[in-house]
Amino acid sequence: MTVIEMKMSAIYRAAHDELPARATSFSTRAGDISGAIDPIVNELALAGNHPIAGDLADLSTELFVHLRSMVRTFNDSATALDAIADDFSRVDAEAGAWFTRHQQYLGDPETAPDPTPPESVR
Amino acid sequence: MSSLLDQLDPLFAEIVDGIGELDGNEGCVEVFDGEQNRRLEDGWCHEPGYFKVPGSHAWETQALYVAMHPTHPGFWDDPVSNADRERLVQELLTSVWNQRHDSWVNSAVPIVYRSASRDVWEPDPSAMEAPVQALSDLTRWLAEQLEPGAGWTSPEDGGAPKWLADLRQHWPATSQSSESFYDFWNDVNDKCGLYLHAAARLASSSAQVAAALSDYQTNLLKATQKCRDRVKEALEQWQSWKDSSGAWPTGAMTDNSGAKDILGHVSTVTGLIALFPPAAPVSGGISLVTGLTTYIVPAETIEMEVLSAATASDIHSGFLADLKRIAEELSKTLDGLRTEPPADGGTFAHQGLRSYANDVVANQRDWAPPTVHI
Repeated sequence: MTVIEMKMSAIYRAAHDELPARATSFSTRAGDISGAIDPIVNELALAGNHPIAGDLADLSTELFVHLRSMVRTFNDSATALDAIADDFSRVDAEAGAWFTRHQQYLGDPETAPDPTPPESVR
Repeated sequence: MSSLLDQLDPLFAEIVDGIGELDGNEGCVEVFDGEQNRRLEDGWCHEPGYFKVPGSHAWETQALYVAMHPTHPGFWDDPVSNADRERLVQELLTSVWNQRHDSWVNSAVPIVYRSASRDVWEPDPSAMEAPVQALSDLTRWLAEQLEPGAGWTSPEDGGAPKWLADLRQHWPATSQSSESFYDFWNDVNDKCGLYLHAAARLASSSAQVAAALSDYQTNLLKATQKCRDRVKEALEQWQSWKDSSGAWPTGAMTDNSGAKDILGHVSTVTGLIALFPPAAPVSGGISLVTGLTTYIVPAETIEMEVLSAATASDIHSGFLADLKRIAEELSKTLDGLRTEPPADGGTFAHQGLRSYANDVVANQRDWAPPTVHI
């Protein structure tokens, strides 16, 4: 494998496989926070609106926002690397030839969806 | 409508019906007293009559009513006989009893009981079981990110995944510095270490809250059943008990020593925290079971006010005070869960949930992952 081929392979693998997998995993967990805290806060609202709901919601919000920030970073990094590699394959003949043989990398990487935020963030 | 309310509503109705019967009995005693205390004019006397008091716990008694004496000049000519007078007293008793009973049964008192205990019966702790499980899973997932095999390391590190080392070697020269990406990547496990604490607190505090709600619901149901039993006991005593002085049971009736109900008390906060410490979701998960069949917290007891009451109005106001007390105690327990530190070793901060959450919010910048510029 030539240096160019190794370069293309390394970048596209990161952009299309590794980073989207991390993004999806963090996105799922961030969404789990919203799915968990909303019913808890709703039940506490019925328990005389006890202020402990606010503490739990605050903690959840912090956790959610930071995990979502990681999701976005994974997504943005994947998209940026993909764009760089796409550009390179357009200007470099060997890179272009490699890309023609690896059509699974055609198009943008499949980024993870932004997780649904908790009620308190919406 | 919650399933708890489905159990409470018929009990509230039964209690109010029984209180109405007690009030009816008390009304009948007033009629008896009225007859007995009436000042007798010449030619009138007290005659013993046999009277029946209606209701689900009906009772019969002998009591005096005012009758015309045979020496009264009009005794033989009066169209109203003493038998008629006895019957009129009986009719009065039935009418007074029904009136007093109906005034309770048709009142808004069951709604008052519902409303006084709403904060306890309305939340559904079982709806919190799956969320607690999810937060517990999240905690363990965050803990996994701290393990070396998770790969959150510098690409130069020997333990770095191959694809990351390859990316490092072949990072496109056209892009800006790749360092910010590796800084971000290498920092993920550190950040997950912070988030792990927060998730563990979130999971354990939520489990504590759900268990507290579940316990107080059990208390509420048991206290209501106990009040219903107390009303029945009072009605049964009307049927059977009349002391030598002739007094009816309108005062204190029984020895109430030891007649205490379970009520989760302030100490339950410590119990709940010990049961669901923040370390639990990290080490192996939380097993939370809510519902009326479980009673988790070893309770301190509070004597129910209604258990020292015997009259209709005392039972009503005593039970209402008990319902309000249960709601207050629940609120106090939740207050305690906010403020008491988890006290489970050095891994987790020795501060209550509230101050911990405030700290996390205040340190938002430190908790945020670094920015990447590619």
